[in-house]
Amino acid sequence: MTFTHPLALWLALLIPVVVFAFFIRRKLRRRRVPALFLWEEALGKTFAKARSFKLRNLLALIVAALITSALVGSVAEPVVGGSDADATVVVFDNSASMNALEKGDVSRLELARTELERLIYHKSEESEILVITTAGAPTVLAGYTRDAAALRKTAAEIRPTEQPSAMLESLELARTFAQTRGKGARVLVLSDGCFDGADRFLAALQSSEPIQFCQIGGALDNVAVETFQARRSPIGDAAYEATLEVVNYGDAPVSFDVEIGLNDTLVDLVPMTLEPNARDKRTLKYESTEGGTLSARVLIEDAAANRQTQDDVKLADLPDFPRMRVLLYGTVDRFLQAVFAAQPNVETERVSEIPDALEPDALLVISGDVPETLPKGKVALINPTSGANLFDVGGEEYETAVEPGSVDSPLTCFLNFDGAAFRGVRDIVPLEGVAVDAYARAPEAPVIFAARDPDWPDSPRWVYNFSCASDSIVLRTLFPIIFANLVGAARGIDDSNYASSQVLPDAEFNLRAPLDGKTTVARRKNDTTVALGASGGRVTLWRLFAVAAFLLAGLEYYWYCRRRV
Amino acid sequence: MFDTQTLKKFEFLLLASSKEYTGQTSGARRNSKLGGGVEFVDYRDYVYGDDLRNLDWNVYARLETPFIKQFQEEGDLPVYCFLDASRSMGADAAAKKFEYAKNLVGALGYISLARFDSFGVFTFADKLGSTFPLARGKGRFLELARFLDGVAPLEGVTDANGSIRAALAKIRKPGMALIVSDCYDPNGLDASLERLLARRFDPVVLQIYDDSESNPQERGDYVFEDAESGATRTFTVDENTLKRYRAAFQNFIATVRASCVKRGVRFYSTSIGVPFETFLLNVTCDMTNRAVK
Repeated sequence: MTFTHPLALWLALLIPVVVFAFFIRRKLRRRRVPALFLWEEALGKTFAKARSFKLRNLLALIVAALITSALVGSVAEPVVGGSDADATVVVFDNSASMNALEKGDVSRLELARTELERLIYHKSEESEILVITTAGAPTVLAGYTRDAAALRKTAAEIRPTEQPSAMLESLELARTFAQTRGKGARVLVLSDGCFDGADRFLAALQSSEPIQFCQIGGALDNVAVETFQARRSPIGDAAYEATLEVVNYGDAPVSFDVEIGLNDTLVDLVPMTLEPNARDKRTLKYESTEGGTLSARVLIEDAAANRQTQDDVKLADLPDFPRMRVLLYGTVDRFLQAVFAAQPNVETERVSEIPDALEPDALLVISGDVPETLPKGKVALINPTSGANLFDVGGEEYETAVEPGSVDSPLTCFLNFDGAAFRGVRDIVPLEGVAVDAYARAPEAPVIFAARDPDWPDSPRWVYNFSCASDSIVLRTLFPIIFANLVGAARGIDDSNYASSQVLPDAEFNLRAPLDGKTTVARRKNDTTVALGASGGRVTLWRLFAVAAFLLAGLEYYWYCRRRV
Repeated sequence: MFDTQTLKKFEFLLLASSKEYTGQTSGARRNSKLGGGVEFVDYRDYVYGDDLRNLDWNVYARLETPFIKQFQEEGDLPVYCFLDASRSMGADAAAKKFEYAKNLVGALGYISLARFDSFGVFTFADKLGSTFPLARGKGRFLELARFLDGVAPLEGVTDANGSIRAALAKIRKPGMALIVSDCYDPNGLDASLERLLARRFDPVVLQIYDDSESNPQERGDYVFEDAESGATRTFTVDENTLKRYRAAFQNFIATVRASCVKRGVRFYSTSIGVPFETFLLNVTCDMTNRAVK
């Protein structure tokens, strides 16, 4: 038998005090009587020196000493059984699912910590404990040590994480550590069972290896945001899309709202109703030029239906929508001005002279007369009325039906030009030596094309050779889209991602482990209880001592009452 | 000591003696002697030397023979009260017993004084204590009350015989002798009663005890200390011992009663649980009944 608190045995010094106090208490009560001779006549030889009297007092004294001894033993917490030289490798699951709240709003992590502290509390002085945490990757928090104080400190320092559980890797590491201690070692897993690879884990439990699984918590309902991603609109406007996927892991239908926020500003409330184990995946569209952190948060009134709050929020990074500086030169009619003003990402500026060179983020739009030499930079020509160093322009305007162009063209990929009729088209002939990518063309000449200047290959030139001053319905419908594509292309996105789409990775704490967050893992029938598994077969006797003290005190009180009443 | 209403009630009571005493002074009690009373009884022949004031001149005028009128003499009853003031009367809870006894003595005294009897008090324990001399008239009751208020328990083991013997040495005329005591005299009251009877006293024993004496309830281990001698004994009291004690107590009272009855002494016993007015009424009624018989 060992004692958990051997210092408490010093309390045994109270036993002589109790004996002394007993004799003090045994000082008999004095009573003055008017006729002692009557008592003598009645009681005869029944006086204190009677043998039974002395024996009874002796028994009462012994019982009082036993009560004190039992109380001292209870405080010292004697422990019997178990191996004094065992070693325990504790695999402590501190993954995100351990943040789930059990009854009493106590997290599973705290329950597991309590079990670990209990294990440390009841361990013998010779037994060793090693602690491994599983969040993210196996981490040895404390090597084999007998130091209970250091182990308690280690247990206190385990913090909750938002990472998935690397249980199988941790278990493998724990096995390796256990093998270094031979047969006296065992592996104790403190986990809620919510991790990937549960089947392999159960197989390991059923093997002959000394692995004990102490499941923390029970099956709880949970609603989780599993997927949340955002991207900008591929057509270059201010819209963005968010993909949201919410799952109900509970056993009952649940109704709730999902709050969509951008930089802590409410964007939308999405009501949802999910059947048990059902998921709702939908794409949400909003519009904002502002970028930042986009959040999706589950708002649910019934806390019992959502015991794990850590997976209620997911974040996505929404990129800013950069503005484009557009310089307007030439005869810009009201239609063009309206198209420019409608672009949320465009800052227009009229210039009276064509600069020699353009800044990288600027686009020069020339309408009408074209200078002989185009400046270096991004230039778009709308309805050129004169030729330049890249092409010659015919004099007469005519109507034509445009053939479809290349689907890879940033100018026409979202439009179908096949058979579309344009008015005010002039003949336009690229000069020799100029590389032309014709994306849409009339029967005689290109209508929309991109030209590469031999002198400045990095400066794209886009040419629209139709007149925006015409009242063509087709043109007025298509041109804003064409111009939006033009701005997107001018923003500098490479050809492979010209549509300006940007799929963002999940936020950092997204749970990817299949079982993480799913708190409906059933408790195995052969689960070892914490008390048995954690104590290593050791049995504490303090309750026995306490009960003995209680019973002895009752016996003493009974005798006391017998004497008095 | 008593309020006016209570004293009024006492005036209707009477201490009746079974014996006839002439008394020292004229009182309200008739006796068999003919003398200077007011109630005419008989005539007798005149003899030389008779007081001419008692000569019936009307008879002499008709018969020319002198006759002397005889009257029944009326005297007082000397009442001597022997109050046990030992420690047993005032020990611990039994202190109420002493108060009860003093109230009883006071009431008896008022009854006597109201009836123009003489009343005196002797306190005693192992010897005679303070004394209230014979007094007559209700006006002396206040003195009696003050005397009783000042009476405190005396030291020593009760010796009724010696104390009464000392008291009798101071008494010239016999009368009623009221012994108010718990009767816890190790030597008993036999000798005292014999001595009183020999001196033509009419002894009456009024025993007072506490319920805790007749029917104790406490159990456990005790050191019993005798209130008078200070002797101690250690006892373990349980139900059986309590039964034996109660039997011993009843036997003790029976013994005292038998001793009194054997000598024709009236014996009254009461617990202080009984209101003393009730006990007083019972005692006086019984005395009156016996006197009539």
